[in-house]
Amino acid sequence: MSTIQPTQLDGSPIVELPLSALLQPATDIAKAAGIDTVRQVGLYRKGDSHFFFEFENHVPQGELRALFPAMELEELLAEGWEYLAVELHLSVQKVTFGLRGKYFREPVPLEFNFTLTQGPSGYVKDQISITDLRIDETENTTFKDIMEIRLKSGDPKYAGSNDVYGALPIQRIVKILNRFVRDWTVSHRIIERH
Amino acid sequence: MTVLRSPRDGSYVEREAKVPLHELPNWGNPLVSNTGAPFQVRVSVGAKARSFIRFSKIPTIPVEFPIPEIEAERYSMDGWDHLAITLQMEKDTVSLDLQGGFGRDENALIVRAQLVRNVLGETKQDVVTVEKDGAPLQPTSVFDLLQVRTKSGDPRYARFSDEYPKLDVEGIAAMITRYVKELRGA
Repeated sequence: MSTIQPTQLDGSPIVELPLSALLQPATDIAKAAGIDTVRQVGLYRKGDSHFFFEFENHVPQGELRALFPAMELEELLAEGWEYLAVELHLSVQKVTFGLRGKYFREPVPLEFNFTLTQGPSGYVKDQISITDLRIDETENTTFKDIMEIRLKSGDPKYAGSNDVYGALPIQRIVKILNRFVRDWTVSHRIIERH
Repeated sequence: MTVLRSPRDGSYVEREAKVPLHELPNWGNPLVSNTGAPFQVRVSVGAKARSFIRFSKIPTIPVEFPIPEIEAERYSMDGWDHLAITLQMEKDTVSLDLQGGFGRDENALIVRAQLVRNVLGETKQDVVTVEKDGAPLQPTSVFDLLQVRTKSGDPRYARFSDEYPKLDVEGIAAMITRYVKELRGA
């Protein structure tokens, strides 16, 4: 099996790094594994967390190296996530970050799906869907749109005033999404009749 | 890799010899130490064929493990409706657990096999059970299946080169597939 030393990183969970910083190590890792995409999944529930490498068609023919964000689980699960799957897919010059899970805050149960793909020139995919499980209705938005929502004062509602779309560390993205999801359950307590 | 010779009745597909079961702990032990817990490798066949390695926490060392190469499409065509092969990797020990449904109608066979080996090559468990029409058949073992011969003396389910102490995951799955294929036809 071939061996690698991903540039910049030493195998420890990632802290404070934007997706763009992962492009080169992702390329190193995918090439060394001998597969198109190394799919990594962290699955979190209270008292039951796991980390997976997942392969759809071909199994790796070389060494695999985990490159995954460190998550503050206690804080995260206390927010209302019944379970949360954090995904980081590593390909040659492409990194896809995903967040999907089930969230419940009285009286709103929802299913959340987020995909953000980083390419060499910036984000190439940004997609969020939220399904209100009481009525099975889905709303779509993007992380960019969420970052641009403002308060009456003009300050960003969910992002920080210094946050720049395209340059945020993974943990910061998760924090912003958490604020948005919590707020979404508040604004959707009453089911609108169409 | 060595290509294992097969009896010439046309129903066998040539395959390469892979890593023997008892050698897998040599690959798994560093990861068990690094994560401080056993880990699982699963290969599944069926509507959503995939493989994964599951750890209790993120390994901080490179993962070098020969994941079994099961040709999902071929196994589906052989008759498996669903099949999951799980390797439970503990320190110095590997447990192979095969579970599946063979056939896609109400007469599907429910198949389960378990083979536990340690790094010394000692077999701690070896059992193959099949449920047909809701009733369990007499249990057998991979060892017994390996001994079964045709009238001509050729191995009935194994290949000529298969040896019990050196069996790999791919070989065990292939042997059990031929066994249940025959049971299903009976």
